[in-house]
Amino acid sequence: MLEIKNLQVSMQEKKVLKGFDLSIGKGEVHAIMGLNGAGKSTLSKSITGHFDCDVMGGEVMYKNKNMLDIPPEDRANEGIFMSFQNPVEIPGVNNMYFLRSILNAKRVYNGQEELTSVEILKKIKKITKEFHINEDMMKRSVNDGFSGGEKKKNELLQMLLLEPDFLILDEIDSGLDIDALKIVAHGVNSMRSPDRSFLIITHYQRLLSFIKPDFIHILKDGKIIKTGDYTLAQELEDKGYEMVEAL
Amino acid sequence: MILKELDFKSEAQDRHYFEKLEQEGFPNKKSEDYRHISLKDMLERKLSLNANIENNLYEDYISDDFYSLIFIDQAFDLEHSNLPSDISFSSSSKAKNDSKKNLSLLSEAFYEKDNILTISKSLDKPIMIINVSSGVDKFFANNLHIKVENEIKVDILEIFVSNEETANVYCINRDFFIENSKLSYAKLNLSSHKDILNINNTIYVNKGECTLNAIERGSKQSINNYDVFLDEEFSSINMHGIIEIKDNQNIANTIKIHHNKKNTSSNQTFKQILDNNSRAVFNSQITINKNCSYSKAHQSSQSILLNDEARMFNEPRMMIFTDELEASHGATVGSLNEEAINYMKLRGLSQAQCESMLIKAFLTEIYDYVKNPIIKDYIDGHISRISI
Repeated sequence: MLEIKNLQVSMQEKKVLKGFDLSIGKGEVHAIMGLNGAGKSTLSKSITGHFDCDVMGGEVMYKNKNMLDIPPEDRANEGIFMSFQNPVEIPGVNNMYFLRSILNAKRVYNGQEELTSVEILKKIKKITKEFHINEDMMKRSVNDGFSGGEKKKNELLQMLLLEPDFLILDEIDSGLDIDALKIVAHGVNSMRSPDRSFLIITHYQRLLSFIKPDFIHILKDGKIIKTGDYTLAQELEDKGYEMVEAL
Repeated sequence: MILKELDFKSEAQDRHYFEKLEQEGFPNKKSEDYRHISLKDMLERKLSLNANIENNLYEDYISDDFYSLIFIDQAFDLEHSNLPSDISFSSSSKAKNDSKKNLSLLSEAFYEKDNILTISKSLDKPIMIINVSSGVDKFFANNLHIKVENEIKVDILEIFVSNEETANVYCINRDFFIENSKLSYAKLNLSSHKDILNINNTIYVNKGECTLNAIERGSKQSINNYDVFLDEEFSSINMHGIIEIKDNQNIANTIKIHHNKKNTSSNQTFKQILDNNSRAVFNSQITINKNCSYSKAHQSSQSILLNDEARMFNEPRMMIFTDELEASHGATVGSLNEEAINYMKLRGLSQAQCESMLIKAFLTEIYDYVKNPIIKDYIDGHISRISI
C-alpha cells in the first residue's frame, strides 16, 4: 500500500531522515518507536506534506502515485490521514461546518456527489453515539478550548467520518487518561480491515497493548535500525531505550 | 473640471463652503491625519458634474423588508423611495455649519440643500438608504442629516453600489444626531473598484447609543472620516469595521472620538484583511476630556495581510485628561495561521478553502455585531454573491 524509498528530509536545515525505507502492505499495522529527535514526527510530516519539511530525495509511493509530487490536500483526499499529536485549535471555524467541508472536499475530489448537511449529521450522530463522543463538540470551534481527550476524540471522529485507507497515528496516546485511550483505541481497532493500513508513532508500549501492530520498527538517527514483531515493543519496555543505544 | 483648479463662479453650489475650503486648502501629507492618504487620484481626475438620473441599478438592491430612501447619483429619488408617514424627510435650504472642515467642505460646496431625515417613532422594519450611481468621471456630492429622538431604537442600513465600469468620485456628508435613543447603523460599501468614495461622518450622541458597523469591500479608494461627540452623560458609541480589500484598493478610516461628559463610553474594533497591493489606514484618536471620569474607551485594530505587498498603517491613539476611567488600546498585524492551514489541508481542503474559512472566522466577531436579523440576512446575501 505504501512504499517509502530512500527518503531524505531536512527540517530547519538539519538532516533528519537519511535514506529512510519502509514498505507497508494492505491491512498491515506498523509501529515506529524511537527516542525524541529520532525522526518519527518528521516521517509523518513528510508523508503528509508539512510545509516545514524540506524533502531532499526519495519517494513515497501510494496507489501508484508519488505522494511527494502532489499537494498535501490531494494526499489527504487520496486517503492518507494523519492524526495529530497536538491538534491545532482553529477559533471561529465551527466544528460541524469543518467536518461537512472536509467530507465533501474528499467526495468531490473522488468524483462523488456532495452530501447534504442532514446526511452528514446522520453519519456524525452514528459515530458520536457508538464512540461516546459528546455532541456539543460539534457546536464549538475546531479544537478550540478542547481538553486533550476531546481533541483526540475529535481526531477519531474525523478519521471515522473520512474513512481513509492509510492512517498515521502520531502519538495519539499523549494526554489521554486510560478511559479515553480505550475509546480511541476502540475506534482505531474498529477501522482495521484487510484494505486499510496503519502507521503508529509512539514512545510507549502502552498504546500498542491496545492497538496490536504486526511490525515494530525502531528508528534512530533517521533510519530504521531494527524491525520485529510485537515482542520488540515489550523488549523495549523492559530494557528501555538504552537497548537502542547499544544497537 | 479639475478640482485643483476649481471654478467657483460657474460650478460651486455654495460659495460659503467653497471659500472656506479655499482658505483651508485640501488636506495633504503634512497633516497627521493624511500622512498615509493620497488625494492625488481624487484631485487630479478630470471630472464633470453632470448627473445621470436614468439609473435603475437600485432595483437589484431594494427590498420589501426595508423602508427605503434612494439617492441616484447625488439626487434624492422621491418616486422610488418608500418611507412611512411616521418619518419626516425634508430637502431644504442649507443652514450654515461652521464645524465643517477638510473634505466635508467640498461636499457641502457642491450640494445646495440639507437633506434631513427625522425619526421620532419606532418602526416596524429597518430603513435602507441606497446610493447608486453610473457613468465615468463624474463628481457627486450630497449630505444627509439623520436625527433619532424620543427614546426609540432604529436600525438603518446604508449601501453604496455602482456598476463595475463606473468610475466616479463621491464626496458626501452624513451627520447623525441621537437624542435619548439608540441607533444601529450599518454601512455596506460594494461600489465599483474604480470609484473614489469619501464619506465624512459627524455623530452627536446625547444620552443615547450609536452602533456603527461598516463593511468595506468596494471602491478604489475610500476615505472615511468620523467625528464623534459624546456630549451628555450615559452616551456611547460602538464602532466596528470590516475591511476586505485587494489589488490596488486603499482605504483610510480616520476617527476622532470626543468624550465630553463623565460616564460616556466608546468601543472600537476594526478588522482588516488586505490582499495584493492594497493599503489601509486605521487612524483613531480618542480624547477623554477633563471631568469625564468613569468613562470607558476601548480601541482595537486587527489586521491580516495575505500578501507581502499589502500595507497596513495603524495609529491608535488616546489622549486622556481625567483620572478614574477604563481604557485600552492596541493594534496587531499578522498573517493567517500557517499551522491551522496545514491542519486543514491535511484534511483535504485547498489553500483557497482554508483561507476563506480562516478569514470568515477572523471576521465573524464583527459580523455578529449586526444584531438586526433583516439587516444581517441582507448583508450575508449580498456579500456572499460578491467575492473580493
